[in-house]
Amino acid sequence: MEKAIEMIGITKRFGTNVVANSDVNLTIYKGEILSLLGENGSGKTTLMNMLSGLYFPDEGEIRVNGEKVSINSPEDAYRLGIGMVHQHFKLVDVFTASENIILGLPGKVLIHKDAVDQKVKEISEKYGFEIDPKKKVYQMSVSEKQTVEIVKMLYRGVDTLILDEPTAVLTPQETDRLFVVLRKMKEDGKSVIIITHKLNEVLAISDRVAILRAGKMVDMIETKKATEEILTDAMVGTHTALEIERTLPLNKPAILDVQHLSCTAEDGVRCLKDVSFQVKGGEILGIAGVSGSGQKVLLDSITGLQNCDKGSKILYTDSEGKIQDLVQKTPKQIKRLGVRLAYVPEDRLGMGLVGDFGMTGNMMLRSYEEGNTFLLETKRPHDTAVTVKKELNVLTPSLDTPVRNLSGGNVQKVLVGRELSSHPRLFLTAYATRGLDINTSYAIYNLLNEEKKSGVGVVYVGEDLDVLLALTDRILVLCDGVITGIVDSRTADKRTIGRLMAGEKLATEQASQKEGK
Amino acid sequence: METNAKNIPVTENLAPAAKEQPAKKAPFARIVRRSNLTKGQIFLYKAITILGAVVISLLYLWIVGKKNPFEAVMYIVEGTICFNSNGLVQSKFFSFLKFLTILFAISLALIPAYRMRYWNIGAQGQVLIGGLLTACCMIYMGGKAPSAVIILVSLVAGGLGGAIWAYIPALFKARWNTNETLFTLMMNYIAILLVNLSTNIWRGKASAMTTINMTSEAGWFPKWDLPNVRGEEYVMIPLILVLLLMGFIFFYVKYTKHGYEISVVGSSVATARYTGINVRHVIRRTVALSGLICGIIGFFLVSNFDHTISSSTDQGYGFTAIIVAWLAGLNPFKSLGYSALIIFLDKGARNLADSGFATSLNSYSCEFVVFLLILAILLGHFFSQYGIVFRKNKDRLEKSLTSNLVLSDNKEEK
Repeated sequence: MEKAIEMIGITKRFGTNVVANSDVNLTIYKGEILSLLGENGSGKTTLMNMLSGLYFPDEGEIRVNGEKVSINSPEDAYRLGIGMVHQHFKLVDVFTASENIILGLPGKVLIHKDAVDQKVKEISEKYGFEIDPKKKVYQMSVSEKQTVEIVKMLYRGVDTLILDEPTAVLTPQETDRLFVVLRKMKEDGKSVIIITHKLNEVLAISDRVAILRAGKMVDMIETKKATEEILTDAMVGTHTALEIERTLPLNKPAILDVQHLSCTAEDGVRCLKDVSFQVKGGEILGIAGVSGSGQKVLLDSITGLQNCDKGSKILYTDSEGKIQDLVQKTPKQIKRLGVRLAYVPEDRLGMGLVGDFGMTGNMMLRSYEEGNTFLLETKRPHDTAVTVKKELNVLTPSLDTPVRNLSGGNVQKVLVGRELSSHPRLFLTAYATRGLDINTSYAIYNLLNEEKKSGVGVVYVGEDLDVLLALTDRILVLCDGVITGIVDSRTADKRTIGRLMAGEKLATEQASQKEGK
Repeated sequence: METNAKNIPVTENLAPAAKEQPAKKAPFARIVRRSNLTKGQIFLYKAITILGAVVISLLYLWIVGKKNPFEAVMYIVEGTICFNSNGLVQSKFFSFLKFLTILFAISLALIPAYRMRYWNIGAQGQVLIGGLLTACCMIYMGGKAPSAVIILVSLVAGGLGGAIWAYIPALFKARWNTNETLFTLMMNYIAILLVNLSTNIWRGKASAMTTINMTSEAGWFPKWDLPNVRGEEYVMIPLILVLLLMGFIFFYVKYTKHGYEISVVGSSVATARYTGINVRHVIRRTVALSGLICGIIGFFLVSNFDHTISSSTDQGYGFTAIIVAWLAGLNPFKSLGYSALIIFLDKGARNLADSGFATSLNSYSCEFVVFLLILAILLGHFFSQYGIVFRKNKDRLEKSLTSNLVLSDNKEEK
């Protein structure tokens, strides 16, 4: 087969600590569908962004049709016949499909919409898309938007199409339809690269699978010879022991008892389905799952930020054994009930902190209501800020420097420090170490362990399975809003968790029964 | 046209055609954000733009007026501060104080809502409704109740009217996230029409509304008699009140729990929700406060200054105040300075036009100078935050603009 694109010795670093891709060699042939498989953060998207012109590799070279090229912008990529459909669509809502498709193309002053519409129709018929060129994007379903993105690429004469997690937002029927289209493109001699972490789809559609782990190409398998097991093994790799200190759980009674929790998102999609589990005092419960499996909704519903469906129960037991149901309560009501709950959300600056405020102002977020007067009390938040700065070693020029000017690690220290300063009994964290360097990450692990030792129930939503296995006591695995299993971190292996994350309901029944008792 | 339609690129031939195109040059000029300026440099940039505008203004006055521009400047100054044989001309200076008070008060009213990033452009309507209800009270209660009662009732009615006028769009914003800018603008038009409707009824066959309760002075806000001032004392009490309001607004946004909530909601609604702040409640409360102040300003306009009402009672300051609040960076103290500057220029321009200094310098061409200077202030703000990178010296400038930026990011880590 003829080579379409060769990537040779590609390395990409972010800052000094993060190596997103390291010495990756990848060849894409004409007329093939290639899957790029890997966990979150394994460098799949970064690698493809270098083909589509969003990033530029630090080392290595890219060859298109045998010729060495330099791709500096998406425009360059189009010129070379490479187009990428991103996970988050980049369309103008108030424009029609056709208008979005020709957006950014060179042309004369006047736009001949009819001719464009005609061309769009021709492309659609050729590959079997269903698209109305005159429909506005805001009226479209997610799958229609994706179609527009793909047609946009084909309109630009793309020979190599990269799709980033194309099926994450589609229903099974829509996925099947997409696959039909992709096969037609393959017959037409075009190359397709799919970034995914869904094993069954990899097996269903692709000719070859490239597997990335921690930024490195670990394997290249022909799909004919692959099975789910082989792929999982290659994806999660062998267990690498992390030296995170782990004490035995204190085996205290449950602080949080979630029963039959279901949530419906604003667009009517069920994002959590009948979730039941407990968080005991003095343990760290890990939550694993591919991104968007319901982790955020789960934490939001416990903290009162998300409405739950009828029949859901979130029972909190306070230090005196009194039980309170947190369902349908606002964060303020939960606080007034005396529930000692702390939450480190995923979006640190957008949700957990106010970027324009300094440390003192951010400490106030949790406590500004204290004091009986109309006035803001600044003494205590200031003291808290001083303590947090000292104990967590936050590097900031002053307590009033806007936290958005701090580095990522220091921002997280401010957030975690503030949450811990309220002395919680239940501590929820979402991706607490995402994007942090190794030292800061270990500082956070130690803090979580300290809390565990003092009897706090800790929930750790994470994406790195090695960390989850080394840090937590139990791991709850979510897939599409359903618990596919709750496993003991000391005995479980990555392969099992990987399979649960992919939706295989192995020991769910047993696990949930154990949970009940 | 038809031949053109055939030239629309087709999938197959677009790619090779595009490949032949040479790489595009960098754009001629680009705007780059800069964050490495010291306070001194920022001041310098602002000073330079304003100086530039002053020079252009002088040139303009010279070319259009065909006379010594510095004489024209004298007339501009004399619009506010003018001496004659009896000393300071009180009417001019007190007129300056009056309009300063009104403009400054409205800009203060806008500050809390703007700090929440709620773009209320309906101050005009809120002021007019406050004034309209005051006029109602004065007309229908005049002679039936003691003046003090009328004043009290119209103060409450005017304040509430303004608050409700602001509250309606806030309610929709909080509940359905409607666009407050359009909504408050429309509320202005409704208020103007209501005022026109009422004045049409009240004036009867007269050509315009006359002074309300001219003889009885019922419902007229009392003035503070000053020994050396004749007939202009009515501005003193509002002026003192507005200075108190300045202190209050500063204190409210900076040192109270409400002010803190306003800042959090303005920064990020997600953070506010996470913290447990009732976002809808904060929006409604803050906007109602803004409207309340606007309504009370309307009360003072009718009961204290004008003793009558028309749709131009607010002098168009409902909109000018937006510029003032912005120029001042939503800081109450700076608002005072910018209000004074704008009123000073405005008075000066009118004085210049009225003086007959040069026939070609009529009120319109004089206003040009005012807006030129406002534009210069805005440009100064812009250049203290952004720089323009041209193609030729791109590398050099870009380096100087961004090098410090990177440093500031890593500062904390060292």
